[in-house]
Amino acid sequence: MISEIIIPDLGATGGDVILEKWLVEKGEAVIKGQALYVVATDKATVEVEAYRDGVVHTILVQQGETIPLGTVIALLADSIDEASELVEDGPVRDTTIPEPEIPQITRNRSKERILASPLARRIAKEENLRLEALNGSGSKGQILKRDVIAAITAREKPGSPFEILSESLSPMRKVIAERTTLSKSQIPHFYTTATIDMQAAIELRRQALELAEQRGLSKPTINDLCLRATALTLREFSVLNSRFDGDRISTYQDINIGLVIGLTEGMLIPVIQRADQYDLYSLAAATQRVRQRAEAGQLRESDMGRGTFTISNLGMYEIDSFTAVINPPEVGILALGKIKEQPTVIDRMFVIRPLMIATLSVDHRVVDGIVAARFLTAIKHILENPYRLTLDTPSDSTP
Amino acid sequence: MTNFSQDELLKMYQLMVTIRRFEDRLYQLFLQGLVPGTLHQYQGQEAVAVGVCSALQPADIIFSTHRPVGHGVAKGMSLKSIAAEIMGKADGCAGGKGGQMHLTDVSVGMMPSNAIVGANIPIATGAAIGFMLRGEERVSISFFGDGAANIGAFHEGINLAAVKNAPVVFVCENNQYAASTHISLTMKIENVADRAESYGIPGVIVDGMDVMAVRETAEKAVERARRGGGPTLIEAKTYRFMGHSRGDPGKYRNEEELSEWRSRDPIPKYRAYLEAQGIDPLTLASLEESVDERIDEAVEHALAAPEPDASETYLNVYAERRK
Amino acid sequence: MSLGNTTEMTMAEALRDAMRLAMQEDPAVFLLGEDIGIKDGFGGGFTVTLGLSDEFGHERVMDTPLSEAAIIGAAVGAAMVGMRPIAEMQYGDFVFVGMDQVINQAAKMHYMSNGQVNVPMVLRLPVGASRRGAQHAQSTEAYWMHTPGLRVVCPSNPYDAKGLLYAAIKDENPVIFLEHKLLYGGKGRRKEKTSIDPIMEVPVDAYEVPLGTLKEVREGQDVTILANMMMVYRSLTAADSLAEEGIRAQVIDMRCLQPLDLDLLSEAVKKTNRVLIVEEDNLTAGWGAEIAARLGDEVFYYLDAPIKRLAAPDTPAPTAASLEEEYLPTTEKIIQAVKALLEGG
Repeated sequence: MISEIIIPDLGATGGDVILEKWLVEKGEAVIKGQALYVVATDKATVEVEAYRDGVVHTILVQQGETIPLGTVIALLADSIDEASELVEDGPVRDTTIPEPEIPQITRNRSKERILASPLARRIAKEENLRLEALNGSGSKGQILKRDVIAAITAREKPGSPFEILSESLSPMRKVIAERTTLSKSQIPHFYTTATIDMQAAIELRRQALELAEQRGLSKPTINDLCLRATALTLREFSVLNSRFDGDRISTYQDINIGLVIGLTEGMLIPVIQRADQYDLYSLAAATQRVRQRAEAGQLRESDMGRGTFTISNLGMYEIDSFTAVINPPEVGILALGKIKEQPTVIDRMFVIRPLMIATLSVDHRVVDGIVAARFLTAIKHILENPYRLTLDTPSDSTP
Repeated sequence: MTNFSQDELLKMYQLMVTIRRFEDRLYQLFLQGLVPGTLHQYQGQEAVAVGVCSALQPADIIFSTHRPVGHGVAKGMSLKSIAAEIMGKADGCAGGKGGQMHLTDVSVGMMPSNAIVGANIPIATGAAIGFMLRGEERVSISFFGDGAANIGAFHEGINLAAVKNAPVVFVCENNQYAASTHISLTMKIENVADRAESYGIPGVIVDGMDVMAVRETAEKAVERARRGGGPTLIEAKTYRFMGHSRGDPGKYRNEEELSEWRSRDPIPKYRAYLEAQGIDPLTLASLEESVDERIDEAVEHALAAPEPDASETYLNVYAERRK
Repeated sequence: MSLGNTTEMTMAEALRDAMRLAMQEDPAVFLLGEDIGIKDGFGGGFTVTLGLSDEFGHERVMDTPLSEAAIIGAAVGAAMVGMRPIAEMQYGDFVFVGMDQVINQAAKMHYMSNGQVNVPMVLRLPVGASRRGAQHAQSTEAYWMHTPGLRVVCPSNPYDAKGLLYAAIKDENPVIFLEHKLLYGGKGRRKEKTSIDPIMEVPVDAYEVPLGTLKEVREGQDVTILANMMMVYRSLTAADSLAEEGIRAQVIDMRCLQPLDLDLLSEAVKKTNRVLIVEEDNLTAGWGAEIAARLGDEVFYYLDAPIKRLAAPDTPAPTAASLEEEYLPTTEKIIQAVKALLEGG
């Protein structure tokens, strides 16, 4: 099987990089973790390792060349003689998922601190002015006393509204703005909604928690259950586990589900790679880890990108339901609302059940209404018969 | 040489015994863990301190070293103030701020003793210059060991004193060792006193185990200084029976050497001299008893005395202007 | 304030006058050093003691052998028995030969004896870079500031020099008295290249400038410049230049570093919100570092920019004129530093 070696997102500012040096040559056998090449970004020079064993089949980019991120620079094969054609049509049975040229949403390692002199801070505090609302005129953009005074003066000028002085977008916001604009302008979103009775799922979770407690395992959340349900369903609906670049649909073997994590300054979407391969407990561990890293601003390069589907859950807020924006070049995203005790009818009897409204957005260029409906119904069925969450094992995977 | 009265002779004996027994007692306290820091003990050298200090007038001053107990007692410091200082108590002579190496009692002419080897040599010279400028007939004494004979301040200070004819007497207590190093390893000449010639001042060697000899030598030198005859370098050949400091068992000295010097212990030697002069041994015995009593008193006092308050740390960094 | 009868004096003359008056008043005051009293001689390295041995004799203006440890040690000893010695090193950098006597002896005696002895001595050091090379160039303030028990004085002009020296002689503590070589005002063959030689009207009578006081030598609202000795003059020149651009710099003469009038400095910074420290010795752990740390503590919430220091780089002092120019803070560097502070540092 042929794999592509691409230049990953190295956390640089996203511009072109220089392939400084190859550390291996065509025909050389490599092992996972071995350094393959050296790349220079505007921030640093780093070595990049192989993510699998193999043999260097073809070198596509020579050292010294300047190339954009995401460029395929070499091919890795199981053996040197392996046929090298990529399958043109249909699902590509590839475990490497190339990164699109759309910038990833990343978080700056350094928390952006507003630079202001102690004096300026003090005066601003005394005058009830938010530093975020002020422009700094200092040599490093820092807010000085004169800037605070100017704001106070402006505020006090009769007739002129106190304008919140404009600030430029943070890098994260810029990327979110770009991606959502792109998504909404290019993707014809189609929505289906289902109400899911979560009683059985809640009970299953309770039992899972007991087991986790006993065995010292990680504790699954409701979101983890939904995540697994979605992952298992994606196995049967490969069209929803694909990427569309406007031209070609690329379907993937790996089911990599992105989780939307909200932060004060915006959001991040780290990806649980091969989400269907985990059992409930190890999935819980994985989502916990990734959530912690996201909140601490310590996500790794391996946490980001290569997603095939995304889940967004606002159930921790008072949100009944919402429609999510598809994360290009994916073709679907699932939005989960709050689980609420509601009256409903079962066997013609009024009962109170914990109900959750799930809304699926799909790219109508690729996924039709019926497919969307069946997909969402399948997820509903798993969650309402959650023994299925524990039944399916990796070896059960259907191609 | 002066004719000594019996009182004077007995006084010298009492002082030597006091130093010996007091230092022994301090050693015991050290073994009991009641002495913070370390001790630099004087046993064996008593004849030098007592011999020199007894030749001084009350207004004369002495500058001692890191091994000051003998000098302090000989110059008239109270045992209580020394014991309390060594044990870090509030009513020590320096309020606990000096410690064993910085004993001071200006009221008896014991200037702050110096832990920097040789540093008191130019200082004593300066004090003597001060006496000279004021026309006072006072003398300052600088005590130091054989180790100090090799430090820069020794050379600079003695030379300055010589050039200015200052009324200072330099007393080198050559106990053969600077810490663990024998003097033969640190000097090519035999006697520290031989260096006096290079400064143009008299150098005198004296048996540091013989208190009367020391007294005689010291008297001459002090008199000379007081008359305006300038400084003298006295070298007293002596020996310390204990190690350099309490942490030092003195293994670098051999038994033979030790017992040779012990056989010349200045105290039994002096006692024999006194008895030969017709002094009743019983008198000496009762003197010794009263020494023991005073030492007991001082030690008990020091043990019971309170420690200085933490706020004392900040006092006496700077001196106030006189009104 | 009426100064009474005054006359023009260079700094060397003012220092000489202070000592002369003190010696007339108090027989305990005497001088010791190399080449200070020799008849028809130098009057010390920089003419300061010229003529004093004629008036007071060679015992009270005592020439010594070349023995820094003994000079300083003798001053300590004499002071301990009630004299008021003024010892001088021919060049400030030579004090390091006698450092034990300054740091372990002079500074600590009063404390170790718990107040039984005082050491009322003055140690005069000619300091500052003057194209003679690294061993004749240091300012040394930092060593003294760091040593409890010492007073540290560094006048910039004849009036302060006389008043501070007179006060130092009366102080009961060892005073390290720094005199900048280029400010003495030597004449004829004793004149220094690049010297400034301030001359001013100085009272002929004895007077004190109390230790522990600082002086604002120029008013200003936009930045506070703290400088001592030679750097005061460069700061004033810089301030003139800045004023032409509408920037008003306050200049404070740091003439006494111990005791330190921190209150005056705090009040100044509260008004200007910006501090530039200009010092001549090496940057690391210089006197400016201490002041910066203290002010950072005292007036943090009044600072509109970080506290900046201009100092010599961390190298020994070079000799060539062009290198010394690079080494020392210049008027131009001061101007640029002030402007940077106005932009937030």
